[in-house]
Amino acid sequence: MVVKTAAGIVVASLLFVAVIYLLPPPIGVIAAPLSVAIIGSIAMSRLATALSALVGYSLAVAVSVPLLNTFRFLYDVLGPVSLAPFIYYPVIAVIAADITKTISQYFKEIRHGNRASTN
Amino acid sequence: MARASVGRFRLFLLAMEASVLVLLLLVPVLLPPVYQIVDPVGGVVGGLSLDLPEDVYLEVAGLDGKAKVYMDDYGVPHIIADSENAAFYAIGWTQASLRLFQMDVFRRVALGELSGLLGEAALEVDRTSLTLGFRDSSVATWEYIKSAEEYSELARAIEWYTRGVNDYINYAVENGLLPAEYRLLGVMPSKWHPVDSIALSKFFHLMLSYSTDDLVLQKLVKRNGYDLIVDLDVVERNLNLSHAICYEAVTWGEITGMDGPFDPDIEESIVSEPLHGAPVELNTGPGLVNGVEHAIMLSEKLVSVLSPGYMEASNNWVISGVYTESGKPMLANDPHLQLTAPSLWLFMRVSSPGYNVAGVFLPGVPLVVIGRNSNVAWGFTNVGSDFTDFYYYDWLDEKRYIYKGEVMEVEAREYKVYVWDPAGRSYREEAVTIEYTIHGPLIEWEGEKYAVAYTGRGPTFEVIFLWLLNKADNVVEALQAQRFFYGPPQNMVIADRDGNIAYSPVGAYPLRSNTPLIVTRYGGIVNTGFLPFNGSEGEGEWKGYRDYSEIPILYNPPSGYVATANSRPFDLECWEGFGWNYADRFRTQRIYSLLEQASRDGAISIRENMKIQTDTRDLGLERMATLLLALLEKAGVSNEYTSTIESWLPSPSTGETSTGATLVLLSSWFFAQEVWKELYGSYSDWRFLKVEHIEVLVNSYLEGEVWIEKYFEDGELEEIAVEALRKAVATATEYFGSDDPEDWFYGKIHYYNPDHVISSVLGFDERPAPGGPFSVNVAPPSEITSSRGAPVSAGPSVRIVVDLSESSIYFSLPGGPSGVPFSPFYQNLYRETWLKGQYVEVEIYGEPDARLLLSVTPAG
Repeated sequence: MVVKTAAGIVVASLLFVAVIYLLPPPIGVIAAPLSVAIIGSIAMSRLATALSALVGYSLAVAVSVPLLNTFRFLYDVLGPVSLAPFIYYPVIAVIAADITKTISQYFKEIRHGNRASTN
Repeated sequence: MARASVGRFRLFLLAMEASVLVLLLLVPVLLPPVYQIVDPVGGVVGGLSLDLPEDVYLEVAGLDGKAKVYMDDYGVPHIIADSENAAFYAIGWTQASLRLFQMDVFRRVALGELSGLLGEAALEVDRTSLTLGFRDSSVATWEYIKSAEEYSELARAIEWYTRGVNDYINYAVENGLLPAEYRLLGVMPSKWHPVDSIALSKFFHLMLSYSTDDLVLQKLVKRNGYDLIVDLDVVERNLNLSHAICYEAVTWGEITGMDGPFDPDIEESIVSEPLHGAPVELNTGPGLVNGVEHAIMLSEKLVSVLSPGYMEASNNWVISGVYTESGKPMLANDPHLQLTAPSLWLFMRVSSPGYNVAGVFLPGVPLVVIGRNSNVAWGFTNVGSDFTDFYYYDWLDEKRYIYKGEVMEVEAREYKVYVWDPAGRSYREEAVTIEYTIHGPLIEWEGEKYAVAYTGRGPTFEVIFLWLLNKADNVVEALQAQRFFYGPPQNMVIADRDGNIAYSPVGAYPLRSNTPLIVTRYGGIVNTGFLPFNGSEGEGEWKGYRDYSEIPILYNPPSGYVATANSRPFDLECWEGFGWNYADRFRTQRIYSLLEQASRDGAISIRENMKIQTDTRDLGLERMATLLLALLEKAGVSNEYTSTIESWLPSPSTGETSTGATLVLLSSWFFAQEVWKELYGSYSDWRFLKVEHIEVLVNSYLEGEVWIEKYFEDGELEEIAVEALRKAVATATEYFGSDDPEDWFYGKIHYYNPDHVISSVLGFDERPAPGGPFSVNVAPPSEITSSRGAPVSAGPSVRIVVDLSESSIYFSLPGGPSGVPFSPFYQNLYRETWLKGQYVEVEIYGEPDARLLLSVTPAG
């Protein structure tokens, strides 16, 4: 279970990075947490999904700039608002994963219902 | 039924979640500020790590040739062009790609339009520039250059440069390459204007020569009496060491066959509208969230960059081929300015049919300021004389004053300033009114109104001077270019491939009429501008400038070399009345002694020049230590701390591991401050006090001279010395967490700290700063506190060495070429060369083996 979650976090966060760098702005900003949500809805808890978005964002920053210095700079200039991405991406990923799970559950139930009525 | 309602509830929840999700996803699309914060690629974070453009191909309409810009391993741009227009276009494009925000700040400081970029807190900087009339005079200068046939080549160069900058701005906007600073401020860079490049010379004026020291001296005199001017040797500076000796001098006119300064009839009008129009919101910019606080900080940093004060120090020297290894002249220069991130200068090399130059450019100016061309090398240090005079009046009311018995009314000039609000992403208009008397604009200093006369105020022609200098074929042509140099006067050293060398302090020295006599107990002394004048009596009025043709210079002096380090240019025999406010003699003394030693040891090499530039022995600190010890001994103080100072003196290292240097620096600092407070009544403006003043005071005190009692009672200077030592020990103990002086490593408390204008996080690495306030490798602390130690924020802003037998130039810069904070070229030169005392060699001929940044060809 732990291994599966860890693998999920790794895959989802890497997907976040790939999407945000490959898609043009602002589509990348929208699509990146959604891509994490898809993985999250399949194989992860809410916490793991949120964590994936968080790690994904941090990795995306770290790809181009020194992570700690950048966060120090943003906090220095923007104050607490600079923490927005740490809330923004996980919240979107978790909500989107929830919706995906609910919808897939709904279709699963419909399929089950159909099968039951056929039987 | 129950199952259906559960289903409906789930559907309701789903709809709610989906709505929240859509809203959240739309936030960054609809609100650019949020986008800037959350997007690590296109937002602020992305702006911190922009890659340099690579292999950009541009077709430019109307261009008459091709240009290629290469970037070597250090990021140094090499521009190879087959036409002048293409070269200047490429210079503009390249400078903007590396330093756009810095260029924007510089030009706006000069034009009084900084508030349009940074907001409210920059208004004070704008007010200073507008008071000094920089916007009006820059526009007038450009109008003149543009319309004069003989300068059409220069005007064309500036126009193509401007086009290059503007094409880069468009390129950056289209490709999402705007620097992070714009993204933070939420404002677009406005177009470059040719006047901007002219105005940048005013930026230098402000930094190097505008000074309120006359007013400080007046306050000092009011407290202590006019005798102080003689007692402290404020004007004659007998302890000072001249750069050159009169009997070797010729006049500038004898060598150039010219007179000067260039003085065309130019009509200057009031330019009340800002050149750069209203600020335009950057669509993807967030605005500084805690903008006010940061704007204040920005403004304070800028004001400190622009204050000449303690950092106005530089070294240069030129050596005849008689003394050099190569048999050709050598030239070295290291101007001392604020160390900033990015650094002030940008090193570039340009080759085109008419120019073959390499050296440092001020970003925003299309010409080399310090460097060399194929045949000539040049360098500058500040003369540091007196280029600002102040006038006080008998006022009848707020608007009326007396002038030569008549009632005069102040004239008001109104300027419009746009004030950007980074947080609110909007702007407002502010009217700045500048009042003028017959002598110049009015300022307020400590509650009193003074009119200012300043050499940098009217139209000036530094850009013509630089243009001619960049094209000069020999020393004489370089000297002739000085006809267009209005100041602030510089100690210019020049050398050419034919073997000639020269030193010339030519520039705008005001001619004053009706200079009043000041009565002291030693007799009368003429106020040549060191104290404010009585404007109501018509004292000290400027009647133009000294005729350049009569100013002494050196041309191939028999002594074979000349070094300058901001002390007095010549001895008083031929330099009386030119100025008074010179730096202490110690760097001049040290450079001369090193050059003498090097010339005695054999022919001087390039390496020898580099060793002198990075020399860290501080004769000033040694002098201060000696004076302090004498006073402490007189006070009967002898302890481990006095022993530390004593044991430092025989081998006075200011290296990283020295421990004695820490105590000497700190106790000298506090001693100077305390002496100043006694004389002035407060610590403000304490850097007015020179070591040479302290020497006069302490030596006279120790020798028991009577006059000293006017300033210090018996035993008082000993008390000050004891107090300074106590403060030094307390500060070091708290800073190091140890009271053992053996633990007080100099490199830990005395360190470089180049700062970024927006955030200290973006500043360069903190590193030990060898040397002291008076060493050749100058390293003056900006403050000394127990929390921050002694950070050094000024120093050699570039080190340049040229051997005229070679076709190359050696340089070392405290900062890389790029202004992008996390670019690999941001602080590479600082880390890899400058801190280590190493140099980069750049060839001025041939195609470099480097990567292509830009290729420009004519369209069609």
